[in-house]
Amino acid sequence: MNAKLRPLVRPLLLLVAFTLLPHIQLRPLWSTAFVSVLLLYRTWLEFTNRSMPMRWVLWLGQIAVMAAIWSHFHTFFGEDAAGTLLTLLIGLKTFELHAKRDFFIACILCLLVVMSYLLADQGLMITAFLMANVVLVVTLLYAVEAEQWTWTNWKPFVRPGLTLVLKALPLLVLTFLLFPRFSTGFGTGSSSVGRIGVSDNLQPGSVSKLIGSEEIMFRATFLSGEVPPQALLYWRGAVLDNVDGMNWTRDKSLESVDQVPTPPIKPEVEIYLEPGSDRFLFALEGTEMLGFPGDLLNRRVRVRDGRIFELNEPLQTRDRYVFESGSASREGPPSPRMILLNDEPSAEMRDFLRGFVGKPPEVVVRELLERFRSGGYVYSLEPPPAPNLDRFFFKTKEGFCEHYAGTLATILRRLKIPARVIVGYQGGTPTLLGNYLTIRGHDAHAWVEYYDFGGARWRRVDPTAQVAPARLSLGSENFMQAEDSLMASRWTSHYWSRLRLRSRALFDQIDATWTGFLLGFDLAWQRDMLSKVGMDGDLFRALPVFLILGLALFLAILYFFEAQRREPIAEDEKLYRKLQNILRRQGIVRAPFEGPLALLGKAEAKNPELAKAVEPILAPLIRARFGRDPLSAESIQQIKRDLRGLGRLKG
Amino acid sequence: MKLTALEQFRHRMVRENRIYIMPSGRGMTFLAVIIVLVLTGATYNNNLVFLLAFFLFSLFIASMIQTHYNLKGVRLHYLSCEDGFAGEPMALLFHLEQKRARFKHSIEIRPLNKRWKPAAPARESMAPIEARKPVRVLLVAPERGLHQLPMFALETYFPLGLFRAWKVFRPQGEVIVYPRPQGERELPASRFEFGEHDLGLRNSPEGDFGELKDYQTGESYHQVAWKHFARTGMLYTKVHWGEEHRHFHLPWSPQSQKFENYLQQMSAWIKAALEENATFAMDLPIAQIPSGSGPEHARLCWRALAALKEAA
Repeated sequence: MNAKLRPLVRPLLLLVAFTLLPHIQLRPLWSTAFVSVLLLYRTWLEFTNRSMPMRWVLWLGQIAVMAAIWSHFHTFFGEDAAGTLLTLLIGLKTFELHAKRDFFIACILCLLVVMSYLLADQGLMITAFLMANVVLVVTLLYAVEAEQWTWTNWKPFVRPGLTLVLKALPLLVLTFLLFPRFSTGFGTGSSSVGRIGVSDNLQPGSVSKLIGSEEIMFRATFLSGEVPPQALLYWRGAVLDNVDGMNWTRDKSLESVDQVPTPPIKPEVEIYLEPGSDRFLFALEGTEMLGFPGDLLNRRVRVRDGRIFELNEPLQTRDRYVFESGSASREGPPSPRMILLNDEPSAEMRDFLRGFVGKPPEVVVRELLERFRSGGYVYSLEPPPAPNLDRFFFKTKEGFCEHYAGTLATILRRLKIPARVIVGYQGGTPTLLGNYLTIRGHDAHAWVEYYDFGGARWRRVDPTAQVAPARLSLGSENFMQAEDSLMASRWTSHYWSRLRLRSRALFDQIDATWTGFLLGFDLAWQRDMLSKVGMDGDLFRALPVFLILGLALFLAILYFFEAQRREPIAEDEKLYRKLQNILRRQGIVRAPFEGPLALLGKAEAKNPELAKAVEPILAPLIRARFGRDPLSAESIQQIKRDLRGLGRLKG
Repeated sequence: MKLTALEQFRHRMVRENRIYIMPSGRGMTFLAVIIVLVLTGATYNNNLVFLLAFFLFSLFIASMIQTHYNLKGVRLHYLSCEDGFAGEPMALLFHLEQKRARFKHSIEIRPLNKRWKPAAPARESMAPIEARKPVRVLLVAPERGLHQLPMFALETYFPLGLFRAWKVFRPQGEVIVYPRPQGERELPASRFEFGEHDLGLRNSPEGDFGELKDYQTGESYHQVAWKHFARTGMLYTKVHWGEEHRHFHLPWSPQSQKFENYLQQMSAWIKAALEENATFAMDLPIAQIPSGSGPEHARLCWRALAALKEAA
């Protein structure tokens, strides 16, 4: 290795380690372990000054890495596989650092790894990470080009890097705003699977397992500025119409799937959906139109029975959609499937149902809700196991929302009232901004809709509200705290938990604003923004021209400032130059190769009187420059006075 | 010297002291990465990837300005050059000059001619107070002869290595390259024994100390009477009573040897004679160099060899 590059190995290892931090969370565990072992081994080699492994060992390592990637992902493409591969390659690259080029390639690999993270996450944290990483890469490249690095005196290396970054920022903003957003038309592939969140089947335990999850599912902004009361916030995810005992599922084979009418949409609610919720697009009741702002023909969205909106392809990254409410009665009369049950009621149930025969649906629902309220039913996260509906309904009477919703819908169907179970989220956590909610895993909920023949529409009924009314009025988060259950740990005081929630809300809000900006910034946004400053039509089409003009302007400004820059000059040098200027007027000029003593000699030859005046000025300057006798403040003052005197002497 | 048409065209196009700048190999790689990022950003509709791409692009542009400015106002002035042997490093002396008080980092001075190879990379940095800085550039001399100085480039990759900026200088001057001293042939020395009648003073370090004589420029430092210099500040050469003196006559008899090989042989003889501090005379095809000794004389002979043309 080039001996001058040796001190740069440790900073490079640090950069690589820093780059790999998000890897721990995003990539398979074995790859993290592998690359950590590589890096630790490399660090050990560096600190013990041992020689690098043979070249063929590295080749073997490369083959092993390829094999591992193939056996895990079965591909080398796609964000996960390629991202993991790049990371492992960086680990190996640290073993062959011979020339500047190798350091450069390692830096480039780091940047590509950062890119692979961005495909999975676009939050505020990752943005900050990106910035920090680029600054570090610039610093390292700078040190590589200067061929030096010291840990104790790092300022001369970090400062120019930071300055360069600051200089680059205006152009960054300019290009980001003006670069025309286009699509390559390759599509994004699909690898994302539902990680956590509600699913389209409901059985005891399927919702309550989410209740400890603080993971954000989506964020909702009410553009009118007012958030409806918590009790009205039912975010519908899927309609479950197929029942088997306590299990509710969606019968996909019998459903019709429609295209959503194309926009324009008048957005009322804006949702930032996190990936991982499979195909669900959550919307409030009575939603008429739903769409992604960039997707002008609404190709990404479809609508299913029960006015349920759905993605054609699962989401890859956080994305934004909006919806608009309309009249609720767009749905036709229910199909006969809505009263289908695949078993016969037990004797006990048959007795119970006899009391409702002949009553209109509203009355039946009211009486059933009354029974839930006063019949000794308990809302519980860990209910005793109830193998069938009868046992829960008549005996244990302890359950979570999925128990109550499933039971109510089954009973309604037995009475030939069309009913279905809806899964989704209920409520949401208000944040500091008035019109903005975050909906987390623990807001998962299930409820019932039955068909009201009189009003010719589906009506929502939430049996859980009768059992645990506070669940709705407080929102699940506060409800959980009040219950002192999973959410609020017993050993943290109320104060701290409030503070934690507050700060989390604040961070989340900034994060959401940022991602909102990032996601919202597309061609439409660009067009909109630029038309506000008068750039529309032909001017908008000439965007690349403006971009190039802006680039030229940026270069000119940068060039101008670079030309204006003055390096700080030591005080003794300034005074020495001043002295030379004065002497030059007398015709005493120092040749470039001559020192100060020669200058004094020339002065003496020309005018001994003058030389006498020059000598007390020159002596401290010589001591300052060539000796170990820096100028003191008073000697500087003295020399300045002498110089003024010298200037007059000439006159 | 006559220039070919192509060279004349190049002289007109490539001016001295003008800054040229192009992305380096690394810079091209960097651009390729930016393009990959932009395509990825467009494919995944990912603004953060766009942000990263534009960030790198902005750094690319900003570093271009800095690379350009790292050469601005820097000039290369040729001072002098020592004669050298073909195939051995020879030192060229330059002055780096800058107009404004600036930091200039990692400027490399490189000959722009494939026949001249740098013996060691000459990387220089300048501080604001250095208006002028002497620089020693070691080159491997090409073949024997009188050469025009090659073109030189001041070159920098600073700060990030993404751009290569360079300036071309055409220093005017000649370099004299002696034939490389090598050869197997023995040269019979004419050996003189000095008897009583010859009390001549010799510069040979062997023999008894004789007297001091004024130092002449070019005489070997080994014979300088340093103790006298310390006492008096005057330079004297110690002269010894000669016991023995060797004299060589370098004949022009290439015999079956090739012209260049024979010149190398002669160069080796001169070197040997100089090391022995002998006197030597040299025959050339059409002239003769009379007897003499010391470095000055050797240089005269070597230069004569360097200037020889085969046709003569």
